[in-house]
Amino acid sequence: MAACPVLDFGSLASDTPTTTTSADAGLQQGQNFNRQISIEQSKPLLSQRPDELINFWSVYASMPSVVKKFQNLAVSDDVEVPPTGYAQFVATQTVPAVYELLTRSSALPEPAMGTDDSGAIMVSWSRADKYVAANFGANPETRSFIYFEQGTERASTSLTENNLLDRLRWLLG
Amino acid sequence: MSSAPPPFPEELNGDETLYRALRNASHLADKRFAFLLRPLERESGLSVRYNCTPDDCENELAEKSYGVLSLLARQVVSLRLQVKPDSSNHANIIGLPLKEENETRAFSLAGELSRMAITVRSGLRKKTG
Repeated sequence: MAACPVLDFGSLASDTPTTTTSADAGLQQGQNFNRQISIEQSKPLLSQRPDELINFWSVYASMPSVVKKFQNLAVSDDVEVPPTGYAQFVATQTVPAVYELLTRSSALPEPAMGTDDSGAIMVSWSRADKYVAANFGANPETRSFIYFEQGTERASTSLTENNLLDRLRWLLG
Repeated sequence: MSSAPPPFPEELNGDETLYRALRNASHLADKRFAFLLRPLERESGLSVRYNCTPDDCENELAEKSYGVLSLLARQVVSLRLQVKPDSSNHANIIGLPLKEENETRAFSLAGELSRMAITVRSGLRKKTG
């Protein structure tokens, strides 16, 4: 019998909102692409609770389409300007990582994804009256940000993994 | 001797229909993207067509179009923006910031415009010949 892979999803268990630290600015500066994920403890698949198992499969079922969308963006005829390598790199590091951390990522609507004239990547999610857009700057010098709105309340914040996670949790809330 | 009046009004603020062609597939998925000011529009304003058909508007794009959105000039003016023609069938929406200059206002106004807009045609259309 083939060995059962040890799958680690200890980081998926918590849905507690995270706080933003000044270290998050690293993404913008193009200096810190490392995911700020604290892995609690590796547990084999069969030791997971049923709700964790369901979550595991829903996360991995919803991720490929997002990852594929990012990959396609670089070669797609559907964008006038392909994304820059920088925008592509940061986006493919950030969004799948955030999906991994969301306990209900399968409930997220399919994102709209495109580029602007500079090669920045724009990704947006709409759910009921809430809207979240992430703008991955074309290069380290241009600002990456998250815009969000609900009704007449509109605001933006810097684009970091933690901030995007918070915003997508808010979207699902 | 008085000079002849220009062949187009100084401003549009009534029931004139404005058209915006979609350059990217993502503009169909999120219409808001279509109303974000492009850097090359920074001086002129957001480009729209009027006094024409949706087909005329799409034909302005070099190779292909993903559809056309329409809205009325008075809807745009209600957002405290201006619609200034520079020819008998082309105008610019003035007052939108670049997202690089004011991201919140840029996305907020683009959202307002996209909610007012009607999709007149959607889907890829390539230019032939």
